[in-house]
Amino acid sequence: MKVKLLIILIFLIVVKTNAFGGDDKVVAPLLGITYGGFTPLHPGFDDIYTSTSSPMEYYFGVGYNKIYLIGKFKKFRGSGKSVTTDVNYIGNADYNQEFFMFGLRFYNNTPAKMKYFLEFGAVSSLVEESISTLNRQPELFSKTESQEWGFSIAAGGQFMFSDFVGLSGSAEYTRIIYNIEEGIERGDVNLGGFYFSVGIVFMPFSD
Amino acid sequence: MRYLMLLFIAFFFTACDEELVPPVEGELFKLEIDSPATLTIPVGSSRTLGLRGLYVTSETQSVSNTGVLQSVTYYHTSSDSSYVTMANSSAEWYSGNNNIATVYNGTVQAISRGTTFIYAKSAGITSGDITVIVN
Repeated sequence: MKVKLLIILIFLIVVKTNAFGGDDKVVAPLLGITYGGFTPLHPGFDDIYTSTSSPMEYYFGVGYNKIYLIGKFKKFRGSGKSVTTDVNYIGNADYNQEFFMFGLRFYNNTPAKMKYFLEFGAVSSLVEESISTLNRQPELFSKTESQEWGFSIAAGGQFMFSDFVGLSGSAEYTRIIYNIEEGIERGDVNLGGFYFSVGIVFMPFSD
Repeated sequence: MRYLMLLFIAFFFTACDEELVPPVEGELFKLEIDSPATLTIPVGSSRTLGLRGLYVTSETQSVSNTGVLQSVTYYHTSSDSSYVTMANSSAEWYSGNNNIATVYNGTVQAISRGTTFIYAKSAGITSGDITVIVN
């Protein structure tokens, strides 16, 4: 633990001492965690999944002169009932989706206390669905998974309590087109959605 | 007018008539002659036997299970079987030796002393043999 903290401290010091340009142009790290609600845009999602998780999102980045290279990760889960054609069968469905985003975050040039940002990135999404029946034997089980690419756009703001820590809030739209051959909706479907979140951001040496 | 009324009543009862004997559905699986394995008949006499068939009915049902990303269909086949009394005329009857006994529509006619066998065939299914002893 001490070693990890030491590495982080050295990293921060190195970044600070190796800053490019003047005081307002430094290479600075960015860390954050958010909690929020994800609304899938798949038109048939709500027909099956009645319970969904509120995912946490973890992100990190490194920035220079108000522009940050950023990476984000969140995992979304849903559970509900698959649709069966026989009333004697009760369907069961589980949905897991992971989002890996890599992109750029652009901060405005407002004073340090309040910052606003826009974000654009590519998204890789790993989606997995399991459907089964609960009350009949043999259990009718099927699982499918896929990895798709898309993009995301986000906008938000940060209120900095201090030079290092702030409260953040953001709205994000993700578009991931997936061609579904079999399913409650068929054809090209957006497996992305809207994610509204609040969280804590660590942003040392940013100004 | 009276004739029309009678016609209407006759039509009404015909339309509402219950079918007392359900039609045989399914496929004939086994054919059996309703008789002891060995049949003893005196010369000159006859004996009428019965015939029954084992019918098998199978039904295939499909169940689809659909999620957001997938849909799978399963097929389930269930079978049922039952013995049904058949008309003797619905089968072809054969005797192993027509000089000892003949058989026609289930009626065995003893001709002369000896032993032979009879069997029946229907819808490509052959029954087991019945030994016929004519004494």
